Amino acid sequence: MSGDTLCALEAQDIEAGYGGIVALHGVSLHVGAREIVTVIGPNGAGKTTLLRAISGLVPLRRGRVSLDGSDVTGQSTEALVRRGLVHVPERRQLFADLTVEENLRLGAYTRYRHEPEAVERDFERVLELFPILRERRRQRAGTLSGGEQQMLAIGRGLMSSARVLLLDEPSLGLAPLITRQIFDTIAQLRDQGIAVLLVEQNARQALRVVDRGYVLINGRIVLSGTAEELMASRLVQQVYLGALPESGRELEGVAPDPEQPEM
Amino acid sequence: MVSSAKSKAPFHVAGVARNDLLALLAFLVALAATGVLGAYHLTILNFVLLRAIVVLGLVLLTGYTGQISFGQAAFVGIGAYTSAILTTRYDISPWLALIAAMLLVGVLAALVGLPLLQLEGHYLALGTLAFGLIVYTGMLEWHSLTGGPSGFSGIPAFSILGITFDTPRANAYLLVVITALVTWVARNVAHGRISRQARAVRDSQITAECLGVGTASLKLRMFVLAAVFAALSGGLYVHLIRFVNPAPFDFLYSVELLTMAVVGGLTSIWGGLLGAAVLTVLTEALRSAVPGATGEVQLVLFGALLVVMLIFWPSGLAGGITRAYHWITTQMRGRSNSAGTESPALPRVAETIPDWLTQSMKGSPSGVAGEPLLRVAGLTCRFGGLVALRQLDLTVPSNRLLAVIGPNGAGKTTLFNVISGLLAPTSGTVEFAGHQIGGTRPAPIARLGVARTFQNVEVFPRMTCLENVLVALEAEQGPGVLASMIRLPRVRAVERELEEQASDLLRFVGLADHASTLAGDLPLGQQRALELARAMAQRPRLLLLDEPASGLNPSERAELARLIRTLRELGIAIMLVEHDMEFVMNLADEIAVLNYGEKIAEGPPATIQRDPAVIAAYLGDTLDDGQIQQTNPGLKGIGA
Amino acid sequence: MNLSLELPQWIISGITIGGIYALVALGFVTIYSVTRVINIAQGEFVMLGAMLTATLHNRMPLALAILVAVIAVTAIGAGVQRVALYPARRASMVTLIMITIGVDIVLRGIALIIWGTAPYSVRPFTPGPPIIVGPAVITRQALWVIASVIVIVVVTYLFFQRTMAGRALRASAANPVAARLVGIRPERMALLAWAGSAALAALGGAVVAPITFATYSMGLDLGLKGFVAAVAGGLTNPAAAVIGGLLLGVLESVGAGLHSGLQDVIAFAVLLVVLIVRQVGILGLWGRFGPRPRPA
Repeated sequence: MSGDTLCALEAQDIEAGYGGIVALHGVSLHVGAREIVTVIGPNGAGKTTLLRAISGLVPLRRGRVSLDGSDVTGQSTEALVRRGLVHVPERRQLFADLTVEENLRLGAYTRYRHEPEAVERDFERVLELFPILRERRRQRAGTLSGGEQQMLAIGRGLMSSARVLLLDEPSLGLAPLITRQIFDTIAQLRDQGIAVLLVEQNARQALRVVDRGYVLINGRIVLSGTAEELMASRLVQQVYLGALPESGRELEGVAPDPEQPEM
Repeated sequence: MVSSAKSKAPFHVAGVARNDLLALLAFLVALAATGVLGAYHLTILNFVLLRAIVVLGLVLLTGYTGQISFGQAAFVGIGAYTSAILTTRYDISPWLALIAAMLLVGVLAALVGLPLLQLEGHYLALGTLAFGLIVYTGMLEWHSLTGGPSGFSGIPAFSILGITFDTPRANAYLLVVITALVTWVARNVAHGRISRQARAVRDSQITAECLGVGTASLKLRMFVLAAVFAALSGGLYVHLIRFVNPAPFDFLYSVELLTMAVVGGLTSIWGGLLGAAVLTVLTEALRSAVPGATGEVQLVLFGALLVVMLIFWPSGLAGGITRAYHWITTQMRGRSNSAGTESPALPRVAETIPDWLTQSMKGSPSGVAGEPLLRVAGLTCRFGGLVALRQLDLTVPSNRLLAVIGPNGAGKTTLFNVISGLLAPTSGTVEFAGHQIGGTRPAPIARLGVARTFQNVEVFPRMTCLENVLVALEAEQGPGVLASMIRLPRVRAVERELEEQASDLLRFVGLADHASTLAGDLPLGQQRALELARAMAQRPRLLLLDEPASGLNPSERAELARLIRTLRELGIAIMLVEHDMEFVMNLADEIAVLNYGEKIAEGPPATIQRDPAVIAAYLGDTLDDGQIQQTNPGLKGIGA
Repeated sequence: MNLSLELPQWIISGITIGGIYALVALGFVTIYSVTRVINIAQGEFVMLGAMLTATLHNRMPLALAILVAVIAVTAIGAGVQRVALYPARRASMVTLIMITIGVDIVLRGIALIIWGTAPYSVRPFTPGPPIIVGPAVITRQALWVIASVIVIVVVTYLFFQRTMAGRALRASAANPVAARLVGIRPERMALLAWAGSAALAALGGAVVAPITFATYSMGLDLGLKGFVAAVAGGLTNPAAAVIGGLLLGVLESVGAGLHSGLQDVIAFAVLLVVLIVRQVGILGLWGRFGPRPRPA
């Protein structure tokens, strides 16, 4: 539980899934106002589903989501954007036929009417952050390379003046060098007062920049702690580096996270 | 007739017998009614039956095969005019003329359907609409042939053995019998191999192709069948009213017909009959119930009714009635209907593999790494400005498992898509069992012995597990459309044998209890098992598994690993894409690592684990970040 | 028949009627791009615009009559979206098409009740003799039609390319998920698309009424032709739809001149060829098996 400090984002006992499948079982986490928190875990663990459940793309079967202490459970994605919760999805979901500039400006869709100057300022700031986008501003978003598209997706997310940013696998398909760049940018976001929840397959890069993290396996949080704790954890090693054990049962021996409700 | 969704009873026996009885009953009632009704009602009945015949074809074409047609009225019209012209101008007997009309329309539909069915969705709707309009205009303009807008009369009635069918009652008897026959034929097609292939095409044409189903040919055959039904209706019509003109065969009639099918429930034979009856009677009733305002108010009410029905009752009359029936019977039996959202662990794999499966496996005997079965050389695949695969070389021998790993977006699924025929290579070759398969369509590749599963499980959700497996088993063997229409005893025997084999496969993957469950109701782990059973039904020599363990819990993964090992022992060559490193390391004989479409490493698991390039690519970092090794001396394998 | 004299006339008449097809096509494209629904009732919006203008212009200044007509039809379009389409938004494509057919039938039926089958005439916007251009003759109203089409196309272009609302509409069509992620409300976009299309259609109806007379049945034919033009552009490309409409009008006119009664056939024969060549030709043997992105 959050205790005294008001968390920017808090999710409690989330249960969600698709059709007959339950992908998340009682997941709880929180992100403070100037924190970067990561959720790591193998593919298929439910990380993307978790973000989609928080941002309203996937309905919650159980659980609560609150933003700065107020309950926003069940609100639509569009409404959450207006409240400052922005989701930058896996595989980017750009407007491929629109130009880079149009994509960025659309990021500010909820703001352009009442704060046009602020929007312009943010536009400039994003272009400074990702100079390659300035070069390509009139190009159709679909023609950009993977790394550039990812930058555009993050830039678009930033244009919405988000207070909580959900980033889904920002390093997807990107070269190591660009990934580093992007993660450095993400680290800067913290200083701007944005709370970031970052889902990543690339544990090592993620753990370099975040404050805290959760490990999600098969729809359950099995571990949580600071970045150093997680990096040192044997479980994380095994999940990501696949040591050659004889049986396949190592993961089942892990003690459940004390922060989670009894299962 | 749609089989009951969640009952556990064997698929065919109970349902079909009861429905047969009901059908017989309906037939007898119709005959009786014909004897009793007055001329006005008989005329309405005749029109209901004439439309029902066309609608049955639409149910098969649109409901079962998923192809929308706004051009059925054209086929009705061509059938009508052909029969009319042959009997009036060439003095051919009405029966012969009718058959000739059906044959002519069949050929025409085949010719027209060949290009048209390349289209999909809206474009097909528009294409058939265009076709219908062109035919309609032809009927209006080609005066010498059709008599133009006023048409012509003097068409003889049917006669048998001196009895002339020139009264509404006589025609009603004739139509009831013919409609019953057509319903019987349609119903036969709606059960069995063709029906399964059609529904597979409707649910996912791509997946059906990958199972070896000739989808283009199937669509064409259904299109022709629907057209022939329409021609039959048209031919009967002109000999009934003994006059023909273009007016009834316009676009609006096509719309009405499709509406009847949709209102009836689209995927139901008896629904189609019901839809035809309800809408015809309703139109008539509105016409007489609202006096003074004639057609206009009727039009408005009809349209409003249609909209309301479609919004609130999208599964049509048949769907609603079936659901109500199930609800009632469940209440009476007091049994819960849930398929259960709790996902039990993947049931234990059967210890013995069915004999017929081992014998028919085309691979080499177990234990021996066979010759290279799949050879990929210099494969490059480029689309949309992206180079997904770059100069890729890979070899997969039979009886071996090659795992392909790499970060997301590395090109692994693209590789599978190229091998299975869903994508054409930009350059390079793909050779399988001595055949060049690069750039070939999926169905021939599947028939050569390549089977695959998909990253997002692609079972046919609206078909039962048994049917899913059957589609794969029957891809190359079984009755065609004509044989299905009359259900020869031989057909039934072949079907039974295939059902046995399908049950064996389901038992092998542990789904014996779910033979009659709709695939879409299964939890993920079981859907993946079903996909595997279906792949095995193809008797593959090469099996492509795309992230089969994704979403499974550890015990399910263990079962899956056992299953895969068993398959390898059968002599099948397996390519596996997976992110679960433990899973991969345990199963793979050889691992290839892709990054940005290029192969950056290849070798046995132990070697790959140590490869610095692999570590860098997968973990996205260089080894100067050495914290991990130092804090964890207990960790095996990395950098050691 | 002296072609060099007849042809220019046919072309000019063709452009005139083609302009209307282009307008109807734009309406189709707008609704389809944003909502993926084919609105079979599009032609009826044209008809209603024409009929209302015809009825009102005898009691008030023409400009006002047109304004009222457009506003009324816009409201009807929005109403249709809210009442008939929105509740069924998760239905299958076949069902959605059939719903719009139902709406089409209702609108036509109501028009029949109110106005009957008789054609209504509308005064040309500016009186005066036709203008002679070389061997051809253009009526003043035809100039109005062409001018309106140009204005509407330009305004539509500016709206979609330069305004935020227009961009949002395009975004909604391009990627509905992403649209939600930037805060765009899909239902609002759908409503806007329907209202806008209805307005365009009504204006087109008002402008063409003096030439073709307003009858309750004019909607179906115009709708179909407009649909043809829209499909030629792939249902999502407004520029192609406009060009398609113009070309269709010209082809029809020339065809009719050569042999009357052939208009419809030409339209649809051309359409069929275009459709099939597009599918089979561009992607070759692969057709629908061409490179497809796997959904996330």
